[in-house]
Amino acid sequence: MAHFRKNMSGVHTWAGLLLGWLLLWMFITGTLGYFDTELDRWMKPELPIAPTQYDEAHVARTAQDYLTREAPDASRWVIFFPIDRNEPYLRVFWSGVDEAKRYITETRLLDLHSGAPLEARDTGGGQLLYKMHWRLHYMPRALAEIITGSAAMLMLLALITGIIIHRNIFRDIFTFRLSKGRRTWLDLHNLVAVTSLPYQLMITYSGLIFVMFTYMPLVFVSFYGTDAQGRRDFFNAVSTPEIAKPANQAGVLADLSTLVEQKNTIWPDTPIRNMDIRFPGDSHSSVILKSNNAVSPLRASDELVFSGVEGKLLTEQPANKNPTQATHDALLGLHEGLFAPPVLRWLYFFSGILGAMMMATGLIMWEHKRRQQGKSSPLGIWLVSRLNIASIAGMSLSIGAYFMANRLLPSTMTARAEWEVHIMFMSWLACLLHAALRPRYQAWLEQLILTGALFLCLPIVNAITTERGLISSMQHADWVIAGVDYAFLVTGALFLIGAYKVYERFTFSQDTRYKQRTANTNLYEANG
Amino acid sequence: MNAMPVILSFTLLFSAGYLMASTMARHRQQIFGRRFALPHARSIALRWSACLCLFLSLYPICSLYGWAIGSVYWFGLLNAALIGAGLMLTYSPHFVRSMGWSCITLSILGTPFIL
Repeated sequence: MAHFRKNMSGVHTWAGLLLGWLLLWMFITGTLGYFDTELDRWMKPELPIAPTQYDEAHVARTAQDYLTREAPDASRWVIFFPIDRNEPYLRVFWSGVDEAKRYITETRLLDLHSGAPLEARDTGGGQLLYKMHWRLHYMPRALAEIITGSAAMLMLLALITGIIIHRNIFRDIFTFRLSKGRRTWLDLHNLVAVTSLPYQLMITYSGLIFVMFTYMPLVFVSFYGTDAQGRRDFFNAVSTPEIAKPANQAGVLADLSTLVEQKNTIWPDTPIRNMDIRFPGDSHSSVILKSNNAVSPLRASDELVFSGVEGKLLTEQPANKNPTQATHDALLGLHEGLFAPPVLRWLYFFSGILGAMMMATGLIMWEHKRRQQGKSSPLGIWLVSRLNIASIAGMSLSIGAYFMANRLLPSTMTARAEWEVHIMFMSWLACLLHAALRPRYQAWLEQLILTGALFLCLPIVNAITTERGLISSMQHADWVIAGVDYAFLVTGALFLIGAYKVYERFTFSQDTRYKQRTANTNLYEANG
Repeated sequence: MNAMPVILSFTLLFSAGYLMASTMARHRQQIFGRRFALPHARSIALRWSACLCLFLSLYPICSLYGWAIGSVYWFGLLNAALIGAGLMLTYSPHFVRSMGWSCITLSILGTPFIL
């Protein structure tokens, strides 16, 4: 058993180390993704406060008027109702084929009162930051999927081997001894990992389920074959049945607010999530009404299918998923946490942060242990220690720089959204260079102080450059923007506390009397 | 009111953590400030009470949100309660005893709210 544990320990160390820095990135951006729409709204301060109450018929009419004016030739319209925090504004989407036979899509946010589109600065918002969680950046999506999927697989391996090598997983659950050097790091690693273990296992496994067809394509092939007909069969099995094909004759779409009234008689208490209108200008158009699918992890929604021109109910599709599909969708739903009410969403966020702490403490422990043992190559230790600084402190700084760039870049700049991301990665590169060139302790201290200062300045810059400063948000009861500002203040404070702890530890270990007393013990290593 | 089942689940989970910690020698010293041995029967009783609190805490949250969302919520609250207990034992151990007993009392007092 001891031999097995020793081997598992080796697997745990290397599985964690190889892609640990990438996993830190994935965890931080993914955790921020639990508040993606809130960050979106912070990054688009021109948008008004989201409506909390609305009349569904009015929403349908407003959207229909706009779409009839702007996209009469589109082949599909989708109207997203401002139902919850995932969809705070009335959003219209349309898609079609232009003259050059290219598939194009457009999306707009509409103001409920005036029906006019809401304009905001060109930014990727919180959504782009969150999507980098699996799409990374500057690379084709297929490559990113392979890299992130491999990282998730290694993390699952690291989690399971971690459980195996942890000898007293229940007995030591609260153990956290301070001021014992490497022991303290190990205790913290264990505390955050074991208490959030159900979440970590769920998030890793469900993350792999997202890419299951990429990694295990032969399962699909064994049931459906490799040809196009097989793919069609699969698609028909998992999605709603076909709706009427276009007749290629002109037709006038019925007033969508009448469909809302019909829906109210069939589903008295269910809000509409979206209206999907296929071939709106055609005589065979159809309208699919979907109910709220964010009430459970299953993401299932009941549907009502209407004929577009007559506005008559054709079929009612209750949410039905076969068990396989339900298992798959439930796992994905658990990963995304869209169903979560507010406190649970914060618990998801908290668990994500704990996961990042688990990985950060693991990486720091690798570095400390190898430095004390003196058996590893100095280059290896140097590389790991510098990457640690750049990915723990530097990455946080770069995300702060992303938000800062959102406020400071001129709104008339071309490619503004791309430049916000460029600035994020440029500042990360600068942090890496800084970590490589400065002595280790100075690098940690300076980057932590800079990160803390940057986050503390974000609400100040917000107040100076926009009308949505903290005081103004609280006066208008805009808790989304105020909440994000508060979160920045707390983050900045935490980083400054971290910087102080680094300073405290270093000055303590440099105390000459202490050094003489502990000359023979290896509890505190020298700077370098 | 909506918050009561969530608070009740959390206090039950924290009580479970407190009862479990008091069966362990290291944490007993942190909580009570002195080393002492626990009679075997008392130790077993404390462990069973801890497990009871753990499973009872499922009920309030699942009665409010259903078992699907409720069980996810429960894991989240378990995480928060255990981290809270762990950090409190390290940074303010003298406070754990009063916090533990307040949670146990609140759990008992709050039972009518969820029945």
